[in-house]
This record gives sequence, structure tokens and C-alpha cells, in this order.
Amino acid sequence: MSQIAEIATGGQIVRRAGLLSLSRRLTWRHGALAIIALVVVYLTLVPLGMILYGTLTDGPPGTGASFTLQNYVRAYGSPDIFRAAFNSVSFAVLSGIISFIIGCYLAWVTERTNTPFKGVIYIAVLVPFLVPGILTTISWVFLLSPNIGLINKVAESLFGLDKPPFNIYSFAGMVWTFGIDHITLPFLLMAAAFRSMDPTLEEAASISSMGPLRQFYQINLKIMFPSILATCLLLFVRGIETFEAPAVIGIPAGIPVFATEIFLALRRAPTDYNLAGTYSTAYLLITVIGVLLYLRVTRVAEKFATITGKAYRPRVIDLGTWRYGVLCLTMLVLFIGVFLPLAIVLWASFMPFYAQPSWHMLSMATFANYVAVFELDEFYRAFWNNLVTGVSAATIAVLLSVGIAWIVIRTDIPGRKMLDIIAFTPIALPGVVLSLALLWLYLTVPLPVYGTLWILIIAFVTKFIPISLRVVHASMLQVHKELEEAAELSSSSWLRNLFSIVVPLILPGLLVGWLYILTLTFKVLSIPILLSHVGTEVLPVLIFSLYQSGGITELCAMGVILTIFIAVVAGLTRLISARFAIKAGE
Amino acid sequence: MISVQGLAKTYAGGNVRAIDGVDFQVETGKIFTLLGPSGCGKTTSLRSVAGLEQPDAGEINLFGETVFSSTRGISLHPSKRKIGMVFQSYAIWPHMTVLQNIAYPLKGKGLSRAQIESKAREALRMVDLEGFEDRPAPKLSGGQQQRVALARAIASDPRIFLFDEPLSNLDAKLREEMRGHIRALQRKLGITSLYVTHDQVEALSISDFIAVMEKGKIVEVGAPRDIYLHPTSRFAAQFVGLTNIMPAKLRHGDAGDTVRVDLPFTSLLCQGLTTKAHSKGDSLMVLLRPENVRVSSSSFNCETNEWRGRVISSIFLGEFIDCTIACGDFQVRARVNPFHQFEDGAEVYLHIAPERFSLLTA
Amino acid sequence: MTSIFSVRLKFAACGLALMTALTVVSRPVTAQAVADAETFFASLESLSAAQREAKLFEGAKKEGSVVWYTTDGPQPTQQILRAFSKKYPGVKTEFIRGKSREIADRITSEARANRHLFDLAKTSTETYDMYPPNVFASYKSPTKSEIPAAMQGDKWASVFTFVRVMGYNTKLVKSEDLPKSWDDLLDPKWKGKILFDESSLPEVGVLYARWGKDRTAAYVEKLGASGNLQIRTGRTTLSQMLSAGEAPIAVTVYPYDIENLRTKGAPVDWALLDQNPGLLQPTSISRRAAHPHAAALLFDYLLSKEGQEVYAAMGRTPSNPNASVKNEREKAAVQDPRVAFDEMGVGGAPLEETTKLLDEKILRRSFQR
Repeated sequence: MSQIAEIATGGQIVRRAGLLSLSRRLTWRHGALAIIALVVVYLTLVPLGMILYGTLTDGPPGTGASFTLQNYVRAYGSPDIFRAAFNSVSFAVLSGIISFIIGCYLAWVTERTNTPFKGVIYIAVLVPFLVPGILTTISWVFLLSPNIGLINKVAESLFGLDKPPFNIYSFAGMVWTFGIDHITLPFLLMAAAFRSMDPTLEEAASISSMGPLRQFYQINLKIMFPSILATCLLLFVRGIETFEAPAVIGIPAGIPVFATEIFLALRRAPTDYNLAGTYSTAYLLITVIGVLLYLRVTRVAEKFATITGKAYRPRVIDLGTWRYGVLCLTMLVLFIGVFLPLAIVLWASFMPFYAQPSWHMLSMATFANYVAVFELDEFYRAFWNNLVTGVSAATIAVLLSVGIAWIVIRTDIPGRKMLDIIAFTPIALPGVVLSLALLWLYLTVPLPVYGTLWILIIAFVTKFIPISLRVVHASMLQVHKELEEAAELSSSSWLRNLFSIVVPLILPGLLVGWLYILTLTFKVLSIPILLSHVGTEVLPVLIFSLYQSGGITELCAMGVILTIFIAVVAGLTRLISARFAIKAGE
Repeated sequence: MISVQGLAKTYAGGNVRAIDGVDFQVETGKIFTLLGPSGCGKTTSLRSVAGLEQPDAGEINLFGETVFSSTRGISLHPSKRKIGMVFQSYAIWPHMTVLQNIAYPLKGKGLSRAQIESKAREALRMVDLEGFEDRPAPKLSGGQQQRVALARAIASDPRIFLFDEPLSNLDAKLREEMRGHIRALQRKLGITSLYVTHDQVEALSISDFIAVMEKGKIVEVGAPRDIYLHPTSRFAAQFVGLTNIMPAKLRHGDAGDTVRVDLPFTSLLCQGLTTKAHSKGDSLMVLLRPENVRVSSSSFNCETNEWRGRVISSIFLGEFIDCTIACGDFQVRARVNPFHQFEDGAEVYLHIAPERFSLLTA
Repeated sequence: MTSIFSVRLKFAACGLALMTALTVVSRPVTAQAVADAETFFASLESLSAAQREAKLFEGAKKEGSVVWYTTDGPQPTQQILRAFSKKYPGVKTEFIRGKSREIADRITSEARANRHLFDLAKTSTETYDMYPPNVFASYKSPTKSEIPAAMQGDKWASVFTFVRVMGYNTKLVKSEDLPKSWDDLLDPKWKGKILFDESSLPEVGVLYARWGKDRTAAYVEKLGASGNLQIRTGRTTLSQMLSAGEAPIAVTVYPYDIENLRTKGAPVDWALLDQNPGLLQPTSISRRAAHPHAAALLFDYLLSKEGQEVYAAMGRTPSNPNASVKNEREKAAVQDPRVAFDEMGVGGAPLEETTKLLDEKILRRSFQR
């Protein structure tokens, strides 16, 4: 009898507590969070819904299309697509490994060792960031083509070879080109992770007689797991989505990837929106699996927290004389990976047409390409537009990501994992599909968005929120929750606590996400090509126009100008981040 | 005064009971410690008082003000509870200077800039950290960081202090020093404090009262001396300090304050204990602290409470020798003066004064 | 109190600044579409050429601007529009450009949503048929009538013409060794030596039109199997690669590209094969143009002797026979019987079949190697 009574009261207590926690949920802090969540859900789910609906119909929305499964039959009905998908996955994995290893190594050198010229290394890694992807890809062709590749020619004459040692038109060539062009993302992300790591943990490990390798595995690797995982996920998704290397190298090499198949299926006008959307479901599937995996592995957030607010001094490893060896290796990597392709771009920017470097060609050097770029009215407007949309989109995306990451990590609101997944899915939507969906949406919705920079900002935020979200999420996992609780005891203003405690602590990560998104707006073509309008062009549109109309040398000149610009921005960012980062102990 | 009633909280959708009906009261100006192994619910209880955790049921009153009540739907924001808290990880904000750390809780309370600064400096003085104002927080040693955390807790004139295992990250020597520091500061300010630790020495040395917790429940509350010398539960006896526990039977029931109990290998005379609840033949447990066992290689020539045993092991620990001695089927742990020396296997005599036992119902 | 305020204030200020910047930079497209530009254009037919021009210029100045969607490059577009603005000051010109598919996507989507934002569009022969029927306006003008009948229709006129020819690297191959015909391209000595753009649909189209279905199918099969082709994307980049020495031959390229490189000293030249596609550049006015005066003014200018000579100066072959030509070689090629315009003209080749041939016999074949 008494047992039954107890259970009854127990049940009542639980119910009452449920009501109570609900009422507590309705504070204005949760209101703010709800708005953030709603904005993100609106930004992502509406186009996603339109696309998924489109995969099941046979015409554009609003044209009285009828339901069909034909799109899936067309997209996935031939074995070609699966072979291409397999190529895509191996391409993304292998090039991702190259990017990750090199980027991670460079990050370690600049953040945790006393190797000289760290500032130079930092800038050198960031410099290729703004060079249009199509340019770096072509410059690798100019370096490694069996017929005109500079490295091949030099190697042949140096070693008396009768065959060129390298062939860019191969799977390896494709992997290398893309891999080396994407070292910046892992570099930035891992540098932020290294910077906010607690060396006492390492010290504790070295005391406890672990070998250095085991120590690296046990301590460093485990602690940086969320960052590593986030980096790999982003690299992988970028790898399966990219089109430049597969188009310029993969097609001549006869190696189709998934992106090539989409390109080939969709190059007829007008774009078969339904088929395009259907192809993107494969990306969607892969991405959702990736996020679920990531969330599962990083579930136990506290285990990874490293900014704990106790004796905390990022330590620099003294390499002794080894640092000159490390410096040499680093310079070699940068020479091959960054300097050589940039040198080709620089060389070409002074040429009337591309030819292999020679004394004869040097005498033909000209500033005509630079003059042409500066004479182009579109260049200034596109650059300014790009800066405005890029900065706005990066800022909005990062701020929204802070909100989302906070909800996911610090609250137990039901559905928060779903929110994370929803916010991450746009990364799976190919730019052309997303921009078509947005184009149609804002052409019909009576909002003054179409034809303004807002539609670009909306598209960029939607497409790039996944990037900032992963970066912010990984950074926030590293902040011990007691740091926030201590603030909660001090002030009831959630916003004040968020912006004076959490945000400054994850600022290095935020800056990385911000910078990366900003540079992507300078690089990604598929979105603005449809969404920018009269007076709202951005640079990638101009770059692609120049590429299409044969101005490779002018494009190179523009690449050089952009490189100088990004070098300045990178220098400033480093200054800011050094100022706000936790001051290193000596 | 802190009063906690019927606090309960479950995790993992109701499957794990973190705390299960916790009640206690802390009198004004006292330090009250929740002591127990990890997972016993002590931290959840403390965090509930702080407002960082939302209990499913119960009521919490601070100086007559209800800050949490599940039945009345009250739950005050942590910052409104006027609490100073010291965290296990110190939670010093690493991007701020020492002074900024301490001043942060003072901001937004209608104080002028000068008032904030003078209050912060005052707090720093109390923890002997004058001159460290402009140091970046990460450039301090562990002990200094702990003191900054303390200063931050003091600065905003809290009604109560909460300590969440504040010393567990310090090395042994520093821990002892900080213990004294915290104790002295608390006495000086007279602030009612709730302290959580799994370290019994810390609990005994710092507290006015200790509550021993096990599996989400408080099993025993008392002054340190009572908890240690006369525990009323087997769990408290085992958890607080080292204890020899031996099953026994009461030989004489209700015979004043001296009773005789039978152990399997001998019989004992116990003094100063009330066994009114027991009658002859009841099964009891005899609790015997190792430091109360006298060991000698020759007989003490006492009639009562002298046993013979054989040394199984003796470990020299500086302050004392940790001896394990076989008496019949039992192994008795004893702490012996370091000047003694026993060979393993040597025959020894044990003697325990009749008043140095505790008895528990089995 | 102050500090809470300052943090919030800072963020509010940043947000406000951002909003202001955006509002300043982005002006929404607020085009007011007229009911039907065709009625207006019909009303112009009674005027003399001079009256017409004066009326259009007057109206265009009131309209203030003209919006052009074009498939041409940014530099040529900027050049021709600068010349137009010089002649007709006070009419602001704006353009966006894209590949013909992107222009088609944009115009059809806008039309579907009843948003009429463009005045003028340069499309392409391949995509012209895909536009909704009522997007472009019927248009007649004295200037338009100067254009040969083969290069115009009721709703369009070709502003200039492109020919696609074989390009070669003069250092790698002598002109006498060049292949003369598509059949010559099958010679095993060209194994892996011919650059071929993946978008060469008009090339297949012209073979199909001249040779018929079966011969074309058999030929394309052989070409794909020969292993002679190096497939690339980006036709003008192909020319650059050719000049850099990546391969001796490229089919096919634009002569003006090659001429451009050649005048700068690059070792490249071009020659005709037995069949070469000629591409018209159809340009039309929107039937719901928001700036009908300006649209007509620009359209007429583009086709006028004056405008056509601006194009000619860039090395393009103008459509207006009255315009003088700089690139005589390409002009000769345009009139060469080996170049096919009519078959590839608006409404020409069976697109689906040629696409299938190109994709399956050439591209897919290269993937199976």
C-alpha cells in the first residue's frame, strides 16, 4: 500500500518539476535562443524543403508539376554514378589527409615550437587563401603537366630523364593539387586548438612516464579530438563538393567524380533543377552521417574541456638546434606548396600570354594585365560588394553559430541535436541547387531581397553556417563549463556573460571561422553566379567571366592583387588574435 | 542560514537518481561539509543550492528567503541568490587580469567604478594577493589562482559561501596551507558556508558539521569529532578514516556504561558506550581505529583487552608504522610509534583501552 | 549598470552600422514593367530614322538606365557600353553576365515570378528555343533591317558572329602537316595530341547537319575510340594551353582568341577544317522592358554601323555589312562554305541526339580508359 502511495507522489513531483522547468525555460534568454534557432531553421529548412520537394516532381515549383520518382532513376540509375561517387570519396579522403597533415604540422610549428620566422610562416600559409581556386589548379598544371610542366622540364634537364617524372593528369595529381590548396583550413583550425590547449595535461603525462608518442596520442590527440574531427569533416565535405580540380585535371585524366557527373548532367539549359536537387540528396546523406558521427564522438564534452581556468599557460616547446631542421622542412613545404604555384601566378601576371619562364619571355614582361584589371569598372564594385557581403555574412554566420553551439553544448533543450544537424545540412547542398531554390523563393516572396546584396548574404550565411558552426562548436567544447557558471553566479545577464566570458575565450576559433567564410565568399562562384544582380556582382563572378573569356594572365594579375590584400588582412587578424588570445607564459 | 528540504534530482530521463531526498540545515556562520565518494550526490546538492542545477523536487531557503521550491514554482537565478562560490577548477577567467576577475561580479550592481575597484582591492588584500592586481590570471601559480577565486567569491559580499572541492587540484602541502586559509577567512567573515569534498581529512579539519553522503542520501550528520570517534553508521565509519570492523555479540545487556562483547577470538570490555537499545546476545559491530591499538613485543600485563597476534606486514610511513596483525582469523590494522620495530611474523601483544571503541548494530 | 550597457551598446552600434552599410550599398531592383513593349515599338514604325532616334534618346534619358543580360565577357561589354554612353550621355548602362545557361535560368525564373528586370538580353543559339514564348518582343527598326536576313528573326538579331576553328601551335606542328578535315583527326599520329573542349556541341551539330545521323554517329564513335583527344573544360583556356605548348592542335577555338594571342607574339595560328560551326549571337528586347526607350536605343546602337565597328575593333566579325572589318581573315571564314551557320541557326539541330553522341561516345569513353 505504502509503496503505491510513494510512487504516486513521486509521479506528481516529476510532473510538477516538468512544469517548473518549462516556466524557467521561458525567460528572455531562451527567447533569444529561440529566435536564433528559428532564424537558422528558416534559413536552412525552407530551401532544403523546396529542394527535397523538387526531387519528387517533374518541373520547377509553381508550374503545376506532378509527382514522380523519375529523377532518382535518372540520377542513380546508372552504375557510372556509383563509380564516380567512389572516386569522389577516395579523392576527398586522400586529399583531406594531405591537407590535414601539412596544415596540422604547420600549425604545430607556429603555435607550439620556438622555430624562427613564425610570422612569415603564418602569413605564407594564409596567402593562397584568396587566390581563386581555378588559378591555383591551373598553376599546378603549368608546373606538373607532362608536356609543359616547369618542374618536369627542370627535372628532365637536371637528371637527364627521357620521360617527365610527374603527370598532373592522374588521380594522384588531382589529389595533390586539391590537398595542397586546402592546407589553410586545417592550419587555422588546428592552430586555434593548439593555442587553447592546457600544457599542464602534457606535463602531467610526461611525468607519468609515458613515451612521447604515446603521450601525443593519449593527451594531445584526445584533447583536440573535436577540433580534429571538425576539420576532417569540413575538408571531406569540401573535397566531395569541389569542382575545380576534377574539371581541370580529372576530366583530362579521364577520372570522373560525383561533382563531374552533376556538372555533365546539368550543363544543358535551362538547369534541370529537379535532377540537380536529386543529386544533392547523396551529399545530404553523407553529411548527415558525418555530423551524427561527429556528435557521437564529441558527446562527452567535458572530457575534452581544456580551458578550465586553472594554471593555464600555453607552452612553447624548445626544439634546441632542431628548430633549424624544422625551419628547413617548413620552408621546403611552403616553397613547394605555396611559393611555386604563386610564383607561376606572379610570372603569368606579367606575361602577355602564358609561356614557360625564360629570358626571352622575361623581355616581354608587361604591366598590361594589371592595367586591364584596374581599368575594369566591375573590379572595384565587385570587390567592394564582396567585402560588404563577405564581412556581413561571416559576422552573421559566426554570431548565429555561437547561439546554436551554446544551445547544443550547454542546454538540455530537447531537439538540440536536431538543430545541430539542420544547421549543418546546407553544406551538402551544391551551390547551384541552393541558389536556384533561393532565387525562386525570393522572386515569389514579397520581400525586398532579390536583386539586393541581402539575397547574397542570406545565401552565404545559409551555405557557410555549417563551417562556423563546426569551428565554434569545437572551440566551445574546449571551454570548461565552470567558467560560465562562475559568470552566471556573478550576473544574471546571459548576453553579458556570453560576450564577456565565452566569446573572448573562443575568439581565436571565431576569427578562424570568420576569416574562412570571408575568403570563401571571395572564392565560391556557384552561389553569386545566379544570385548577384545588376550592381551586386561579387568577385568570383568577375573572375569566372575573365576565365571564360580567356583572360588567364589578367586573372593572374587579379590573383596577385587579392593575395596582397589577404596578406594584409591576415597580418591584422594575427595581431588582433594575439592581442585577445590568452597571454602565453614564459 | 541554509535550509534544504527533500531535495531530489534524477538524470538520464529519470533512470539515475543523483540525489534522493536530501535534507540539511546549516546554521549561520558555520561551515557545513558534504562528504562522500564521487557520485554520492554531494556536488549535485551544492550546485542545486547555487542554482546551477535544477532539482526535480524539494525546497531551498537561504536566510528565510525561498530561492528554490518545486511546489511553489520558485527558482531564483544564481546571481540573485547572493552566493560566493569557489569551483574545483577555480574557474578563473584566463583572458582577464586578477583585478578584472574579481571586479566582474561587482559590475552591474549599481556601484561606481571607484567603489568596484576599492571593493576588489579589499578582497585581494584579504587573500594576501596585494600587488597582483594587473597580472594576467594565467600567470599565477595554482595556489595563487585559488586565492583569486576566493577573493572573487568574497568581493560581492555574499550571504553564503559554496566550495566545490576547491583544494583537489593542489599538491598536498599547498592544500594544507589553503585549508587553514579558508578556515581562517570564513571565521573572520563569519559567512555561512557549504563545503563539498571527498577528502575526509579536509572535511574533519575545516568543518563545524559534516554530512556523510552515500548514493544520493545523507547517512549521518555530526560534528567532526562525533563523526570520527562515534560514527553511527558503518558507511561513515569506513569512509571517514581507517577502521577495523569486527562482528561481535553482546554478553551483558544494559549494564551501566560498561559492557562486555564477544569477538570470535577473544572478548572485549567496552566503556562509556550506551547499549540501551541492545539486549544480551545481540549481534553488534565493534569499530576500532588503528591509532587506538597499542602494540608491543612483550605483554602489557593487563587483564582486559589484551590479545596476541602475529605481524603480517609493517610499513614504515614516517609519522607511524602501518602494521597489519593477524589475530585468529582477523587482520587488525594498527598504527605504531615509528620508534618501534617489528619483524614480519613476529609475535606481538595488542592492547586497547576500554573507552576507545565504538559499537554499531550489525 | 554601465558595463552591461556598454557591451549591449557596442553590439547594437555594430549591428546598426552593418545595416546602414548594407542599405546604402544595396539598392533593391525596383523596375516597373510596362504592359507590353511591343505596342510601343509598333507605334515607332511611322517615324523617320532621325525622329525615331531623337524620341528614343529623349525617352531613354527620362528612364535613366538600361539593363542588359549578356553572355559576352566583361571587357567587351564594358567597351561597347562605354561607347554607347559616350554617344548617349545620361543613360546609365548596367549589365550582368553569365554563361548562356545561367542567363536562361535567370530570365525564365524571373518571368515565371512575373518580375521583369531586364531590358535587353544576349542569349545563344543553343538556348534560344528554351525561353518562354512571350519573353522577348517583336522588334523592327531601320537599323535592324540593315542586318542580313539570315542573321535576324522577328524577335532577335545577331550582334556579331563567331566561327569555331582548329587552332595549332606553330612551334609544334607545321602548317603543311595540319589535318585538313575531321577525318584527318582520326590519324593515329595525333594520339593524345588534340585538345578538345567538353562543351563542343555545335561541332557535333554541324557534322550531324551536313553528314546526317548515321555517318556522324559512326564518326564520333571512331573519334572517341581513337584516343587522340585530350578532353578539357573552358574553351578560351584551351587557346592559352595551346600557346603554352600543352598540345599541338586544339579543336575547336575562337579565331579572335588565337589572333589576340598571335598579335602578342604567341606561337599560335588557326585554320579551317572541312566542317566548322558558325555561331550567331542572338540579342533580343524584353517584351515587358521597364526601359523600352533605352532598350530600343541600345539595341539599335549595337546593330548600327558605329556600334558594329566597336565590335570589329575588338576582332569580332560584325553582322552589319556596312561596318568595316578589322579581322579580315575571320570575315573570310564567316563567308567560307566550310562554315555552317544556317544549320546551326536559331531552331537548328536535334539537340538531344547530338548531346547524347557527345556525352556517350566522347566524354564517357574518355572516362573508361
